[in-house]
Amino acid sequence: MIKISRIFSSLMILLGIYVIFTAKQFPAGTNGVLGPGFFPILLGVLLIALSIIQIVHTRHDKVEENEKTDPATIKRILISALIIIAYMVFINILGFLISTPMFLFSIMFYFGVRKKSTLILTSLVTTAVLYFVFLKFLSVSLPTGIFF
Amino acid sequence: MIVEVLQNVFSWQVLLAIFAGVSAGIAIGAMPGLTSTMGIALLMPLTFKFEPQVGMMLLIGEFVGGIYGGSITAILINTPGTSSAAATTLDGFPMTKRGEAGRALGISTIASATGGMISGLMLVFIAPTLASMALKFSAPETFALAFFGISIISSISANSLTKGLISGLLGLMVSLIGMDNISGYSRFTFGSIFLMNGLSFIPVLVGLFAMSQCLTSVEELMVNNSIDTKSLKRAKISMKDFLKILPTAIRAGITGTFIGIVPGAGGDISAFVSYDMEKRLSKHPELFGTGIPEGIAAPEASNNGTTGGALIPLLTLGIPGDSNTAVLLGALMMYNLTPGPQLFVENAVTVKTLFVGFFIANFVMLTLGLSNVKNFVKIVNIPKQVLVPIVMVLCVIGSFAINTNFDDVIVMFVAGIVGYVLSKGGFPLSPIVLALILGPMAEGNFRRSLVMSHGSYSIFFTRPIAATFIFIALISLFWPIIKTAVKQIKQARMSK
Repeated sequence: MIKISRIFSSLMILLGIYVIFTAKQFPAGTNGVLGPGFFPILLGVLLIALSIIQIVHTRHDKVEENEKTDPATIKRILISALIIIAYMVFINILGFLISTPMFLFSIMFYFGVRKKSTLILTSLVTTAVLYFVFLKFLSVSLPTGIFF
Repeated sequence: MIVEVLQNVFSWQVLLAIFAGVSAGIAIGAMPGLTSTMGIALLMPLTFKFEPQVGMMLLIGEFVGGIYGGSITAILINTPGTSSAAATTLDGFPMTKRGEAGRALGISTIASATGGMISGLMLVFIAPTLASMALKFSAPETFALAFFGISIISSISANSLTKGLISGLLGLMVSLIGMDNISGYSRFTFGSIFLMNGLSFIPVLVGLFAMSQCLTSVEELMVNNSIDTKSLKRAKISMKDFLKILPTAIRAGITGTFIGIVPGAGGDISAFVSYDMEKRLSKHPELFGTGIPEGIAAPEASNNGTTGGALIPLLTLGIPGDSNTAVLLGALMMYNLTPGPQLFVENAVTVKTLFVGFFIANFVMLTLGLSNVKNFVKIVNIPKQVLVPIVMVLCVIGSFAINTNFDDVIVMFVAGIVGYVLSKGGFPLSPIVLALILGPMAEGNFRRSLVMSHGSYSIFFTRPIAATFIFIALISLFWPIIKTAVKQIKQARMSK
């Protein structure tokens, strides 16, 4: 099994390299005063060093308990994330009032809630309460979408 | 001043905020899977339009209630609602198995409130003194403090030092995004105006602590933590039990406060330390673990003791000790109440209001705990399949509401995914937040110090306070390595 920590550490090495090369182009400091590039470069070097240590290190230790995930769970996480992304897209088109109950209904259904009263009441009541709290009580505007 | 403070505290807004915060905290703390940090992060977007003292009291109430709430599920179903209640299961659950759940809940409530009140007293006495000492700090000292705060990362990433440090460095890197506040040069903004002021803090917090937790909960949707409410009676406490646990609660409260003051050690550590201490002091240590009152009182008084303790470095020095106080620091900045010694001068009334409010929060917690445990248990019984979607909506809407900017929602979501993947890989999340907050403070003051000294690094070693803090920071940073080295030497000697 490929270990998350190793993939992530590799990404961190790339990030470190990117940061160092970008920061090299920052203006230099004058008369001993450190320029804006000093810290990014320092952090980049440290990040690369630690990530290499981590990668070497992972080779030795066993897969940690919380890294074991079966494919079914990964699928469930991915689909949940996709439903959230869909919600974030729809909230800009249809607005908060329509997309929120849609989101709640569909994700609860996906999570296995089948009781009609729970599905409908939770979706509507949550939306109504949040709408009231944010718009009326806190007077914060919520996304309205393009049609309203 | 006193009149003003009292007027502030006893306004209906503040009292309502405390009540709401403590209630929300107990409910969130009691639910396994929802942490008090997550609760504070989620409530923050709801409070940013409030008066500072109202909003802060809501969040501090959440903090206080959340640490206590964890004990309810620890006692009833042997699953700590928050990590700080882990030690409470040791004696809490055995007592429940004997059919004395009400007694166990009563003891934990009284002990929590006692611990909280003691830490409140110490907060009131220690904080102003520390603040007036810190008033003389200039750039090198502030750098040293921030560096000290960052060095704590190594002590909170007990499982893997490198992973913790990588998390911390990632946080430091993210903190670089935006306009450099010394030269005004834009760093890593990719030409985006949105990134000029840096990533907004609150969406990152909501993503890291709430959204990522939601995704983790998706994994274990089917785990049912429901508690039978019918057989549950009220929490009650007898005079005999009260007198029995009082010395324990006072000792544990004081210990908890001091552990809370030390950045990096939170309620989970202090609870075990106090449990262990009481066991050693006890005349019958063999009874610990069988469901005795002292075994519940010690961890509960101790973990609530850390609440007031953790507020001391937060308010006086601006150094958060754990993820809870890191989020509270974010809230203080949201209200333009920059924590640190100046806070005690410029916002003296607000600070004193928070002090008095802290006691009221503990009192509210006591009352709610003794009278209403049953209702909180009902909230715990809400199935995750329903609760998690609602929290997800709150994450999205909350991060939008802060600046009514949709880019913040995207930041929140990305932080959520990153946080989830990181915690799957065993990388701790709280170093990211500590680094995110303390990074700019460290960098800015480091460079400012060098401007003061015309480029000479000796400024960090010739000023006694700065040098001391840097020294402590270095020890704390390398402590895990020192500890293993010492252990190996000892083992080598033993084998000879």
